[in-house]
Amino acid sequence: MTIMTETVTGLAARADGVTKAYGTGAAAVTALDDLSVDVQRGQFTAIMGPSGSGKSTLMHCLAGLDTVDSGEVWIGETRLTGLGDKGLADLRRNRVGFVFQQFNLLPTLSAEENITLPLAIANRKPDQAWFDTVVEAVGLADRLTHRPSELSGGQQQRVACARALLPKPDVIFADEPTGNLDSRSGTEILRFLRRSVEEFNQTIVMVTHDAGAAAYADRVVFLLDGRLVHELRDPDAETVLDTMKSLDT
Amino acid sequence: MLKATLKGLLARKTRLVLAGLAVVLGVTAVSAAMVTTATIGDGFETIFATTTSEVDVSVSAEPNGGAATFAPPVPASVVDELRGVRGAESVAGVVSADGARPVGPDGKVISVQGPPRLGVAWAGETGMARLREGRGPTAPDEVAINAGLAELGGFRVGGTIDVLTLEPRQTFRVVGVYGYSNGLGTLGGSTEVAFTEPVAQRLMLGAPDVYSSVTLTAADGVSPEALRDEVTRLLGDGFAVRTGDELAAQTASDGRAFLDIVRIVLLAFSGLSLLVGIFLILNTFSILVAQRTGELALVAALGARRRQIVGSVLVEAVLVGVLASAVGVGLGIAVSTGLKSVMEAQSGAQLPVGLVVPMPDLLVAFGVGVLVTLVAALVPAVRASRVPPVAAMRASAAEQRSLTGITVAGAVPATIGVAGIAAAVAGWAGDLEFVALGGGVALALIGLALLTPLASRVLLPAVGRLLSWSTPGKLGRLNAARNPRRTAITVATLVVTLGLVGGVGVVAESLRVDVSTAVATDLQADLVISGDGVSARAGGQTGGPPTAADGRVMPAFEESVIDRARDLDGVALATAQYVDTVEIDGAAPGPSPANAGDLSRLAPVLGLDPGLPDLGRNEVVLDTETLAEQGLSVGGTVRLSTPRGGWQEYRIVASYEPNFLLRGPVLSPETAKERFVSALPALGYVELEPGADVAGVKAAVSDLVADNPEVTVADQTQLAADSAGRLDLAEIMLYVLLGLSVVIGILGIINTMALSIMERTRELGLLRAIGMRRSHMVHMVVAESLVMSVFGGLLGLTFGGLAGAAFVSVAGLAELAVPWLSLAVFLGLAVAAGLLAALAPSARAARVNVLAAIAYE
Ligand SMILES: Nc1ncnc2c1ncn2[C@@H]1O[C@H](COP(=O)(O)OP(=O)(O)OP(=O)(O)O)[C@@H](O)[C@H]1O
Ligand SMILES: [Mg+2]
Repeated sequence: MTIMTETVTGLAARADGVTKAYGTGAAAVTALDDLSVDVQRGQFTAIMGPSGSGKSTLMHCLAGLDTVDSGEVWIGETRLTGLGDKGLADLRRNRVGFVFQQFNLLPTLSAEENITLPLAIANRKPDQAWFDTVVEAVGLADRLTHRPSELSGGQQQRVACARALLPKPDVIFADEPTGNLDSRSGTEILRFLRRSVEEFNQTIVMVTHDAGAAAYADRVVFLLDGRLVHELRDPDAETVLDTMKSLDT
Repeated sequence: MLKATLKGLLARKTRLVLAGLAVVLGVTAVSAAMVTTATIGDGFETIFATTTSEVDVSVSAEPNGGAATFAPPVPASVVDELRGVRGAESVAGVVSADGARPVGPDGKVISVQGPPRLGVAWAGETGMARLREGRGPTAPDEVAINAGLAELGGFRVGGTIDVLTLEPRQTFRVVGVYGYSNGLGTLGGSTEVAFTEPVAQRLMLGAPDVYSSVTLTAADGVSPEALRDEVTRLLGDGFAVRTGDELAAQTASDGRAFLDIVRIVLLAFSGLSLLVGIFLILNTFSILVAQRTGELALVAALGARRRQIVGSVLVEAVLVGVLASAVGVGLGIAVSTGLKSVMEAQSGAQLPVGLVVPMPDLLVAFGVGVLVTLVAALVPAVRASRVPPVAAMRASAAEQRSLTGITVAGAVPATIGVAGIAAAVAGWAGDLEFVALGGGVALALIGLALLTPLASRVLLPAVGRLLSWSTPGKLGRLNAARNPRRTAITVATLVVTLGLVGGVGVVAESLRVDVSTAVATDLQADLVISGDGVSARAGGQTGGPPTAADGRVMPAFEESVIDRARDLDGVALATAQYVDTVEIDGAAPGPSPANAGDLSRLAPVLGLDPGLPDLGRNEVVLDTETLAEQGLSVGGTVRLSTPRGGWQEYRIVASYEPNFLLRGPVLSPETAKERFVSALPALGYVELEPGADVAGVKAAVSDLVADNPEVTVADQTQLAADSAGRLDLAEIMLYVLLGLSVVIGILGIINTMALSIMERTRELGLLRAIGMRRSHMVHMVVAESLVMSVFGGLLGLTFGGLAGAAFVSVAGLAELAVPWLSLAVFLGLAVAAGLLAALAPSARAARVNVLAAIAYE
């Protein structure tokens, strides 16, 4: 029991024997197949794998956006399985951050309001010094009053990153955050994510198709048909590419 | 392209249903009004045609004043004279007059809305009457009654019935119940009491040996027209001689005065519904097309021509319009069937015809429905086809349009309208003040509609702050402010409805205050004996002359009541006032309220100059306003036509200042007894001795009129409240009608909200993903709906209130009274409407599936 608790404390998120299938009968698709994965605190984890391998599904299950058919999912010391809608919503607001590929922002709010939205929903005031630090880090100090329609795609993604970081969540999940951006804007986002891991000890899980992006991570896990098939530590772009090729065959 | 359109139609069922619903509602309202009016109109005509089917020629005395006064009876000698006319097979004197008021089992006079309460002379089973039970009356204390009355009051053969006529309440034995040859128990809802002929002459016409009219049937081979001409030649001037057909047309058109009121009310309602329906349809389609701007742009990018795009939207609109209008017409017919039975139940009338479906009118309603749908769809479609494909593919292209054009377009009518109102209030418009006011209000309303988008930009944040203290609330408020045009058109219905309500509320309240103040200052009496509506007619405030539709003989009581009241302990003074309507001949000939009484006693009670003389037989006192209006002066003479006296010349002996309770010619009581419709007084005033016990004397006076079910004894406050209360009914009716348009307004908000939420699925998913609870989502949507409805409500009430205040000022009412409580209630209703409208959309928003929404493109 004691040992169990200890292992859990060291982890930001954990999937344990998770199975998830869509549809029923002959048309059933097993998106996740008895998959277990640990996410260490303060680590930048990349998830890779071919299209349809279950990356997004895994991320949604880890983040409490989707339910699993069997197995358990933990965020920090909280077990998600069995948490009600209200519990999940509160968890997503306070302990999980999101960056999607696109449409991350509310068009009616300014950049600043978008960044502070999760705190505002919880009726919390952001810590001003921390807010300034985050805004400084994403380089948006002079864009705070702008509406999303007045920002470039890269700037919008940076606003989304700042929003994810501000509540100091246990984990930030990013699903192809650079997928819609040119390489320069993409690099800015990846640098920022890397920096938040190093300077603020933030835990990040990122889904990507890009070997260059994966190279920013501390660790890359590879999925195939809903199973974890390979893992790399401190990867560089080349090894990642090689692994992808070997998995494709 | 057509195939693609049809596929698209089926794929968007929810939206189509919402759009169709708007059309259905509008068309239903209009066609229901048309069918109901046609049905009632036809019913009336049929009744009068059958009533006179066995009459070839009818003779009555020419009304002795204009059309407004009562035609004097025809002496029996005329009947004898006509017996000798060539070509007549039969000649009969008829007694039939309105004013036989039966007392119901609850001790109150049986009241029917609209149709007359006739007292007739029994002439056997001639004409249309057919005995169902018992026999006709043969003794002075016997009556037969029609089956309609028997049913209303639960009267039976062998029982008794109390009837008030020109004479006070009398009890009769019911010896017969009769129906009519068309099988019905009442003609158009009227009640009938049949007396023996001498009794009917005395009670209904006020004199022996007179008839209300004489009817003749033509001998074989003689046409009604020939007989009519023969009778006219014989009798000379002073008589109205008409064939049965002419008479039917005449009576039917009299009856139609009542129908006209119904028609106006129904048409006003359907016009309002149509207007509101147009808003709803317009809004729905502009949202639908806006949502598809991206899709349309894609089609355009793929090479479709602009004409094809607009064409596809049009095909959709035609299909929706035709289907929904057809459903609307069908529902309209169903609704009028319901309305018909309600009206039958209400008036006791059994319309002898089935539902009349006026095909041409319904085609118009159908066409209007289709046309409005087409225009509503075409405008946004043309706009969408002009958006460059690239811009359209960007999410919020439709929301960014500038408001400059619409603001300028609205500022012009708004400025002219306000100028018109200002001119009317300031009195620069002279005699045209009401035209300036009405035109000004209409223009200002158009201006307001066009300026609402701008106003929403300025006011929504303010209104929103009041309602949105939390973050979900703030998000809702921002959503409401997102598209000012859409918000404006969504709240348009509420603005119009609450504008009307607010205006009417202010005017009605001011009138009430005005009336009660007037009663309180003009009336010195401590107690007033009167029936419903009498005091109003005495002062000419409403109602005017008794018309065919109004047709009521005023509640009256015996003169001896006053003499006995005078003898009661604690009574200082008691006096009677006779009330009627006469025709006056002068510079502005027409009907006028007329009164009679002992001036020496009335003067102190009504606050008149004490020096007024008691009047002789052909003397009159006139109020200063009437003198000025008619170009008359004291010392001269005036010609007046009284209902039973006809035209006579009176000497003007003095004048008085008119007030709420007295206006027009005042005659001597003796003249009234002889020449007014009713020889009985309609108002009695009692002044108490100082220190007398008001409640005790009131009870004693009440005892004196205990056997009269039509009159009551009121103290001053009751009288003021009664007078003011006359406005209530009209006001309530208006509110009920407007309530229906509020329902449509709520549907409009639901529609907009539902469509907006579909449009924002992606955002809703995002909000859920970053941690909004379901309750937060509900809160957000409710806030959006509330902000819109409160904004619309405030805008409407403010506009209506100001317009009402302008009316009060132009009409010269004593005081502007604002019914804050009612206004608050109406605003509360707007809030309730907002809550109601948010129910379904907020549930939908709370149920948004996060993953599906995120995957949604
Ligand atoms: N809502 C759903 N209904 C049915 N099947 C689904 C659903 N969502 C995902 N799947 C299936 O589950 C499997 C995993 O999908 P997932 O979206 O996790 O893949 P992915 O690795 O993220 O792919 P990509 O790289 O294309 O984003 C796929 O076979 C997909 O077809
Ligand atoms: Mg994916």
